[in-house]
Amino acid sequence: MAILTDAFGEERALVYACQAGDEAALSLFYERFFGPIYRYALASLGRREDAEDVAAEVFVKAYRGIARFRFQDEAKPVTAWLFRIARNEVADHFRRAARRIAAGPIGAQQNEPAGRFDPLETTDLVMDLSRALRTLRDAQREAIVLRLAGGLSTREVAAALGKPEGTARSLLHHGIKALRSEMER
Amino acid sequence: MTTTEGSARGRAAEAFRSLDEGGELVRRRVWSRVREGIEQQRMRRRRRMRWYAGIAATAAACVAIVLPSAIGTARTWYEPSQADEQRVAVAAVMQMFAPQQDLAAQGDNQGGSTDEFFGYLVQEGEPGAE
Repeated sequence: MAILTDAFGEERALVYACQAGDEAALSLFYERFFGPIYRYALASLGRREDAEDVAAEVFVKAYRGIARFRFQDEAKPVTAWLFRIARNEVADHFRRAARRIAAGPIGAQQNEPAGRFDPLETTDLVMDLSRALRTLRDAQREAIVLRLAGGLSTREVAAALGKPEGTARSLLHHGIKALRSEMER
Repeated sequence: MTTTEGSARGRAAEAFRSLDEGGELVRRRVWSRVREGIEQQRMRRRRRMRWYAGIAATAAACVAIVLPSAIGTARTWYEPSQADEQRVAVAAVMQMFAPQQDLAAQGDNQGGSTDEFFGYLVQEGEPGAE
């Protein structure tokens, strides 16, 4: 995961190759970012099928928009841009789910995961974590999921959230503290 | 960071990492969907480009057909009508002076020049000439 931040120059070269339409670079881009994006989506949504949907959509959108991506400064690398797409996709997923719940039958409401992990396919540790995460404030939860599931640095978390680095650091600090007390219960 | 905080973070990170179980299979499954999505996008783009090209070709054909005929119509409307107007105006003036010209030809100025004709007109036009 640290490779995302350590190899900024390499990341830049990869993005330029993708922008030039290099098929191999597209595949490499996917290989490099799939893990963090999928984990982020899974940690946010709680269901593998939904996480796969969101991850696929994130990469399709990224390929569509990568030609317009510009490196402004090192504080806003491609990782942050990609995670912003992922955040929007997760938010869209919840909005669609909320509409389905409003319009659908009662059975659909009962099956709707609404961001909770399916107990049949998750370990106790993940279930504990999921329960603890749900008690956090939205901003704290998002920062923690980006940091721990997405593997972003604090600076990248700040860029992905569109907040100052100090705010991201504070969200992470207080979020981890709250997470600890919840998981110790 | 305190030790307990660190361990909570470690457990959380471990829990997140454990989400990767069966990762390779998922990775391949999602990749095939991504490829499909990219291919669909390309097809949509190609279709859109063809559509734009069709519109451009139609517009060019319309311009090629309509423009010459529009220019022709504009010529018919403006240029000839102005010339006609001028011809009508000159003809009307000539017609107006025709009796005087006849009179001049029949009178003392028979066979006279244009100057003499205009002199005749001025003379005729003066108050008390009749």
